[in-house]
Amino acid sequence: MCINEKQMSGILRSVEKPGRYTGGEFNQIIKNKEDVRCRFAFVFPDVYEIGMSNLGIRILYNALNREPDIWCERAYTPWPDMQEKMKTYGLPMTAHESGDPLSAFDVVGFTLQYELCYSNVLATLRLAGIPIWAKDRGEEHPIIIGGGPCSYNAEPIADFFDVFSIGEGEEALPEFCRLYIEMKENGTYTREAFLHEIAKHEGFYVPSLYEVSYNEDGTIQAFLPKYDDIPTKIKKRIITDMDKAVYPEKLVMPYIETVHDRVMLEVYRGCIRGCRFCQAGMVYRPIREKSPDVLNKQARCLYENSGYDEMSLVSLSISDYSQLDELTDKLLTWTDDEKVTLTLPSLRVDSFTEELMAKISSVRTGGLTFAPEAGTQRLRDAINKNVEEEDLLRAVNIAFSAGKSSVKLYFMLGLPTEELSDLDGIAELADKVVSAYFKNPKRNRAKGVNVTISVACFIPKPFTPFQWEAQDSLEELEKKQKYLLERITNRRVKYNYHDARVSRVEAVFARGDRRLAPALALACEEGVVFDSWDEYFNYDRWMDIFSRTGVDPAFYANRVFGKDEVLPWDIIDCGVTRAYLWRERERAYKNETTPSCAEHCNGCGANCLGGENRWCK
Amino acid sequence: MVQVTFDGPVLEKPKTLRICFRKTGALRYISHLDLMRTMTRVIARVHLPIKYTCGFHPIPHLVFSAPLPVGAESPREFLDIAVLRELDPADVVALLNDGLPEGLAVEKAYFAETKLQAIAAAEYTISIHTPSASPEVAAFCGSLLQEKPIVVLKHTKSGDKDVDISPAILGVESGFDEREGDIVLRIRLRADSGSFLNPDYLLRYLSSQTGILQGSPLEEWYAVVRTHLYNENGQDFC
Ligand code: SF4
Repeated sequence: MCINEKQMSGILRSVEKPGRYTGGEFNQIIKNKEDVRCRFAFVFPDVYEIGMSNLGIRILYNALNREPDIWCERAYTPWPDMQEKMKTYGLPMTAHESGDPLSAFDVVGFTLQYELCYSNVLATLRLAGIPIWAKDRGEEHPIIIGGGPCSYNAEPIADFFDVFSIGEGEEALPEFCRLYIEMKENGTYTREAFLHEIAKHEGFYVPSLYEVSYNEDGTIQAFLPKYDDIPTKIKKRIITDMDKAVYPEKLVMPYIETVHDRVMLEVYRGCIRGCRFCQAGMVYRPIREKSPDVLNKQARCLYENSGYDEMSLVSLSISDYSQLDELTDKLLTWTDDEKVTLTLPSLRVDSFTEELMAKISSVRTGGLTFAPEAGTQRLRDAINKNVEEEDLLRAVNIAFSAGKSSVKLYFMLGLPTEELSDLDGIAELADKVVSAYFKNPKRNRAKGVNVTISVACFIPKPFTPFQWEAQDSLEELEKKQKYLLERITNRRVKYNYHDARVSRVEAVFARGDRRLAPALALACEEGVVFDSWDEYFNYDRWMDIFSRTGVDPAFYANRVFGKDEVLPWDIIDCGVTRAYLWRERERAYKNETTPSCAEHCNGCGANCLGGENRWCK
Repeated sequence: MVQVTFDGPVLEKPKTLRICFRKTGALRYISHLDLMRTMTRVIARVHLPIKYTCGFHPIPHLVFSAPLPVGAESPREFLDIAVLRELDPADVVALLNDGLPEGLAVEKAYFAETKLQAIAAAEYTISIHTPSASPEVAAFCGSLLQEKPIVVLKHTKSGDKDVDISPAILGVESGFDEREGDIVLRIRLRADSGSFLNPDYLLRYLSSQTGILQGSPLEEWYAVVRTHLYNENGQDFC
């Protein structure tokens, strides 16, 4: 149906935040269709304000649009109110820049940042009029490609995607488009031929080219490539020299407020720590830093092109950046004058110094956040969170002395080897932080202290030492949450905890396999969307969908996977070896810590991916 | 790319520079807050030497004319900034236009003698497209808006309240656009900060009284344009 602008105005006025859909942002890239040989729609399967905040998309948008004959546009999943209108009035799902329907693109890419976006991926395809199952798509449909953290175990959604880009996409995606253009233009292109060809390129996983067989007990028997000329394992791609990597010079500037409405300066990739529950810390290895000079130049350019008054230094653990002092000194030579606030998320307590505090407090108000993750030293050792209680108390004291009065502490509940005494430890640690405040003579006496503890549920994730572990049952998790609630008696301590039911569904998809696809398809059929939003998440509906599609959620979430079991993500090679992960798991059960890569190399295997750094041996 | 550096002599006292810009096209769907953020950033991008607020997190000191309802267009809105250096307003216009989308284009900038608080009234043209539209319906709508009282549910700080908005309606003219088949209302409303009236209330009132604008957006729609801002003598504000 063709809708004119006046009719559209009524629709836009009737939905929440119409600015989500109107586009036209400053710095968006518009190309002449005549000059373009491959049109790529990059979809963030969540609402605009979240999608616009994602650094990865900003980088890839630039990496693709640098190529004169490739035009990458953006798209976001419309909020349910808009989805309703689109269905009622037959509006197609369109891309932001051109307003052209997604179905008319050559390639539609989805970034998969969290498992709970899967329902949105399918809903978005459906709104676009593109068949959700890869096998139902024909030559007239775009190629559907996925990437991002969830592609390290893409099995639950493997049947909906034509291909996944595994690892970092800055070089891989333009290469993908080049092959597409080449085959289209030399007449060798068919969907099938293209997918077969791209599967031979490093870092591309074409799920339809692999047969999965299962054992009687329901575990996977094997992944078998259907052709001899495609790899048996897909090796992730990385950028080896971060100083030369593309960065989003000209940020697309949203009009409406987004979640991270600021410059995000990516300082380094990877992590030298080895927290045993953390997927990002493993799959983004090896660590690769940018140099302070390059960062300073990029920061300045990003500021000049955006006018943002806030700049956040982004990485998994900013204080582990080996040249942090040098970088902040360089930045502070101009940020204060330009009235740009520097923010440092992801601080570690052991490297939180007075000097750092002075640098950031000169420009920043607001509270501080630390992540001890566990309440006792014993459990912190078991998860390899190399943080001592002393470090935490020292760090909060620095903050209190500088006039801060609110601190947020992140913990996890349900961790492997956890006992009730570890939960007591969380409450005790929070108490100690409160009393540290009152003992601190330099505290801001005008204010009362405020300690928030935010407690997430442990989710076993692929490519972590805890990938084999079972998640506690729902009852167990909820019992522990209640137990902790009763332990927290200090009225200065605020306790937040995540909905355990959400974490359970996440765990099912995190370690799921291809047999989950019918459940996702049924969910799509029944209009499930925005699972990552409390107001839309419905646990009972998911359980019902699982039971109607023959899925036992406990098989994925609450089962200890076997040491030698074929794991759904075994098809991917992320650098870090299985042997290393198992070694780390064994150490966890002995409460043994493993030093960071800065102290010595533990031979995780990521070094064989290459990349410039000073640690890997 | 326009290249200008504002390195003129520092002024003894900051001067008020008035920027006249439009809000049209897709940009009419962004809120007043969004507009403020957008202007703040473009001003930072072009390094205008202007006054910032004090404190931990300084932001440029911007004063806007009364907010436009989301979805309404305007050919001329005003933004006042306090500049700290001698500069040529034409440079400011060129630079800002370089960094602003079409829908927020700057028409002119000049050193202002008046204050934005002197804006007393605003005129709006409201076009309503509805299947039942006729010159008679248009006249009826016009007469409805001239009755007293006109009670609407108004959203206030202390909750939703029934309020008589008729004192804020300064003038109503109705007409009928034969070509489009639209009801056209020209309405003058108070726009001083204390008694600013959002024209959306009038539309809601008409809708509840006559049943128009309750159907499908494919058959019924409306457009609001703020055509004028006036001072208390009824002259165009500038
Ligand atoms: S190879 Fe060694 S230094 Fe490099 S990431 Fe792995 S453990 Fe760390």
